[in-house]
Amino acid sequence: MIGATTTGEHLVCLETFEAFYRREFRKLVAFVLALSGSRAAAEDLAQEALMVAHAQWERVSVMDRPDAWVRRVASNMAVSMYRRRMAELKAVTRLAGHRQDSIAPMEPDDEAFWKAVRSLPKNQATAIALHYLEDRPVSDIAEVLDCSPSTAKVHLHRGRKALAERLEVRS
Amino acid sequence: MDLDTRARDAADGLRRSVAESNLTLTEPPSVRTRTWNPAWAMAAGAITAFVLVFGIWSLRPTVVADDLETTTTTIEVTTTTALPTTTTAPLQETSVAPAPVPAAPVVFITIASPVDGQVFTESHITFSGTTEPGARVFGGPYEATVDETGNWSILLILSEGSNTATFTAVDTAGNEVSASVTAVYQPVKEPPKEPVKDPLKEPVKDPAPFAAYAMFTETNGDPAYGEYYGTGQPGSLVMAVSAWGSSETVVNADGNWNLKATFKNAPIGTQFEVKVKDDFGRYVYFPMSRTS
Repeated sequence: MIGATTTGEHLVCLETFEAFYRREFRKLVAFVLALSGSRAAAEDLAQEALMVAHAQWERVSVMDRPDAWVRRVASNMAVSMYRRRMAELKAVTRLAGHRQDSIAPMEPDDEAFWKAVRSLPKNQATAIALHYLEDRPVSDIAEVLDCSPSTAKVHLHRGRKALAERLEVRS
Repeated sequence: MDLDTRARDAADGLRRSVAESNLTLTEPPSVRTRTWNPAWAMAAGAITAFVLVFGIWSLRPTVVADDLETTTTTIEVTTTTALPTTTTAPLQETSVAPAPVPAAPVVFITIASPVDGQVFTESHITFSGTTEPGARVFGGPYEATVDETGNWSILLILSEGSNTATFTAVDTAGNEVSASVTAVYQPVKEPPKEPVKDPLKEPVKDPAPFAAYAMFTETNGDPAYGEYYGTGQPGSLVMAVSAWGSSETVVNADGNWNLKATFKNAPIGTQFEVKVKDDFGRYVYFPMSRTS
C-alpha cells in the first residue's frame, strides 16, 4: 500500500515498511554478508538493520533514500559491531546451540575476493560492496557513506587499487 | 583476469548464494516479532510461577537483551505437561526467530528547522530537530538543549549571507553523526533616504542672467571700500576680487545681490581693478580709485 503526502511543492510517496522490508531484505543480507563474512550472522544483521529502520519508520520513510540509510546502518553494524563483538557472538552462538548457517557457502574464489574486500578500511570496503554487488552509482555510495560524491569516488578508487594489489589482478 | 571481471564473478557468486538460501524470515518483523519490555518480564515470571505448580514450562530466549527497553527479540516457548505427553504452545502466541545480534547504538540527528536554503531577514534563528533521546547535540562549540524525547534546539546568530550550520549528535556510547543545513540571512536594508533637495544647491543648467553694477568707482573712506549690486542665479555666490581686498555674498531667492568690499591699504591716487564674478564664470570689471 502506498500513501502519499505533499511537502511544499514536492510530492513524497511514503512506502510502507512491509513493502520496503520485502524489497530490501535479501539484498541487504547479501550486502551484510559481503561486509561481515559471516553466513551465520548476515541474516540477523540485516534483520537488525531493518529493525532499526522499523523503529524509526515514520522518520526514515520520508527520507530521500531509505535504502541508503538502512545500508549505512547495516554497514556500521556489519563492519564495526561485528568485529568488536566477534568473540561475544561466537560465545552466544555456541551457547544458543547448533544454529546452522542459513546461507549456502560460496565458491572459494568468491569467498577469497570478499575476504580481501573485508580487509580494506571500512569506507573502501563499503564502497566496493555497493559498487560491485549492488551496481550502485557514486552518488548512492556517497549517500550510504554520508560523504560527498567526490569523497566516495576516492574511497572507491583507493579500494579498487588496494584490492587489485591484494588479489594480484589488473585494476 | 582483471579486477572488474573478478569482482563481478564474486558478486554473482554471493548473490547466488543468498538467492539459493532458505532465509527463515520472510515476513516483515511487524508480524513476527514482539517488542520486549519489562512488563513482559513480569508476565513471564508469573507464567513461570504458574507452571511450576501446574506443569513444566521452559522459556528459552534466543538472545539476552542488553537493553530491555529498546531491544526487539523473540522467544521460543516449549511446554511439557505433567502428563507423559508433550504439547506445543499455539503458534499465534509463539515465534521462532534467528538469534538477533545485539545492536550497536545508532545515533541519528535530523534538522526540522530551518529547511535547507531558507532565507531569513532576522539574524537570530532557532535551529531545531530531533535526535536519539539521551544524545547531546552540538553546533560547533555550542551545545543545544535536548529534551528527554530527543527534541533539540539552539539559538544561533547568522552572519549576513549564506550560513551552513553543522550539528553533531553524540550518544552515550560516543557514536557521532552530523547533519548540516544552510540558512541565508538577508537583512532588510533601509532604502537610501532621498536627499533633501536644496534648490539653492541644485546644479543649474540655465542660470539666471548675471548683472553687476558699482555704486561708485572712487572712494575716500578709510579703509577704502566699494559697493556693488546686481542680479544672478538665486543661491549662487558672487565675489568682488581685487589686489587690495575681496568680499563675497550669496544671491538671494529673488535673484538680487549686493556686497561691500573693503580695500585695505589701497594706495591713495592709484586706480585698480575690481573683478565681480559669480559661480558660473561670468564677470564684470570695475575700476576703483582711492582719492584720499
